[in-house]
Amino acid sequence: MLTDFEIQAIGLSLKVAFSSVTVSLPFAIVTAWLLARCQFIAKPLVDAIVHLPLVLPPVVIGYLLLISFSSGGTIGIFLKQTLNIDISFSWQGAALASAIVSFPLMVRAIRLSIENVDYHLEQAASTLGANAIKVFLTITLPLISPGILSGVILAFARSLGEFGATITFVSNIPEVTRTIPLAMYSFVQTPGAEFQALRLCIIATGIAFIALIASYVLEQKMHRSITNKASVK
Amino acid sequence: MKIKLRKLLTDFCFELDTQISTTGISVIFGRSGAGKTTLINLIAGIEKPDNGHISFQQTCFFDSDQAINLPIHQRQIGYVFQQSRLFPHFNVEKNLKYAYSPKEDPEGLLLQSIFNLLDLNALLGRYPNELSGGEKQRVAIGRALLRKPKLLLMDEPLASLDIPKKRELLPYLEKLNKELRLPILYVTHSLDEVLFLADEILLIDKGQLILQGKTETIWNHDKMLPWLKTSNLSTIMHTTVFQHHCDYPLTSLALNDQQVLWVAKINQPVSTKLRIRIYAKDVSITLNKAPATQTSIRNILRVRITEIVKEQQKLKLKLALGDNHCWAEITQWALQDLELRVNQQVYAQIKGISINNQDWAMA
Repeated sequence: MLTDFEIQAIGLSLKVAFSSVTVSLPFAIVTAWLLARCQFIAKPLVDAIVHLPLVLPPVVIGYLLLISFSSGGTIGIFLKQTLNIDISFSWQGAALASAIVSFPLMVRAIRLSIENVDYHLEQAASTLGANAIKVFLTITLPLISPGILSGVILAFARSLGEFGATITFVSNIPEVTRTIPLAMYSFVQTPGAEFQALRLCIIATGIAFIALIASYVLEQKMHRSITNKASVK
Repeated sequence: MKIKLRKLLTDFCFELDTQISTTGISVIFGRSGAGKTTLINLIAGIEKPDNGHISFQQTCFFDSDQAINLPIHQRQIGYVFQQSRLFPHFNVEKNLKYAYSPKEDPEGLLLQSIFNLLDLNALLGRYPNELSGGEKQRVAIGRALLRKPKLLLMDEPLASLDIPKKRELLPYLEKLNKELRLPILYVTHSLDEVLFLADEILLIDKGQLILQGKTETIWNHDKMLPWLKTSNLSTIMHTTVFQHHCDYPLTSLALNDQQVLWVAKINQPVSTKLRIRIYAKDVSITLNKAPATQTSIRNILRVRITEIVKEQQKLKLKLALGDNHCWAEITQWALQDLELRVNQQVYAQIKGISINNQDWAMA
């Protein structure tokens, strides 16, 4: 049913999106918590930096990544020398580009849900002898889980659709960095490949649709476990 | 417990220098916005004084000179908030056990005694939003107690409840102190709760401590008058149950060696010490004691007028009854016709039937 080429593109897309979300999630939670709960002088600056990828053209981000992470760039050289890692023109590079582009979306969703948590509950937990870490793990984290989920879904969707930063940073290499959007771009560029482009278009729509429904079901479930079962009775 | 602190608030400066008893229930009483909650928040560590010192038993909670500020979670206090603040994502049992350590209670004795004390067994599987206001507060109290606090702070725990729910919860609070021997600092603006619970009163206004002392002393203190007048003027008398009437649902309370006060039946054994609240509006004055066959008033007691206070509409007479005091409200007209004066011996007629369940508490 699916061609090898399509399976490869789907697999690569999912791999890139999963890794980008997994790696950026802990950072996103910490950043969201800092922005929601802490007051510090550099806060406007941090806030601006976090949101920058949302307003910058993805090509700019791809270009910045290219000049800093390629084998001639400062960070690229540093990574090569210390850890012997080269992420330019690899799927890891694509994941990094996706992570940066989708980071603000994830932070925004989580930050909103942290701001909605009643700090009185956290206060109550500390009067019950819980230190800051226990308060966060047992009260804050469970209460913001729907926010985390929607942040993850948003970031995942953004990663699946990532095009500009990816093609600029890691190029369009078959089997290595050619995700669904890049593959579609290649077909559109090739005369007579309209049908293949259409097939990929349907596949992309299908994946997006399944992700949205899954997120809806999960979110309902989480909401029920937080606000608790009054409606079930 | 030693407290000496200062904190600048938006409306006034909170200043306090006192010792609070660490046995029994100390009630922090005052109007809304007087700084009552601020005081217990400072003790809990939720708010920080500008400078000063707070220590409880051997533990120093705060000391600005030594730069000590013990974090909230290390202060070993239990805090029951006005809104119960139960964790919505945990059921009642998990809420209760949030701070409970089974290691320190291997046979589950503490757990069972608190479940029984507060009747929690039937609620364990439910979630906070399935509980009534009174049930929520019981769970909140249980949760605070299972933390094994050395001091329990309660911030108007009954304020969010309607009157029947309050009646339902008050006996639990009374039991709490008697059975667990846990010192309690209780914030309220309700005189009913003061009467029912307080061993000691701290009267607070605009961040200053106005009065502090035993319940009866403070209640009957002149400086307390502005607070009592907001409802109806009343005094507290200390009495003991003397006898129960064999034919009618009435109980007599001994006020001193000779005189007793008949009130509606109180289900307490003879010689139980009680404090009762007498409203000034239920007391009238007569010069001659009418025989019991000619008046419906059962309580006609010999008293001495110690003070006459004139107000715009009416007069207040302060009456001494042995070592108890009470107020009577009469008119200027009656004062002139009866030619009443200070130190005169007269009879006080007290309507015993108006003393109901809300007007007495165990002393």
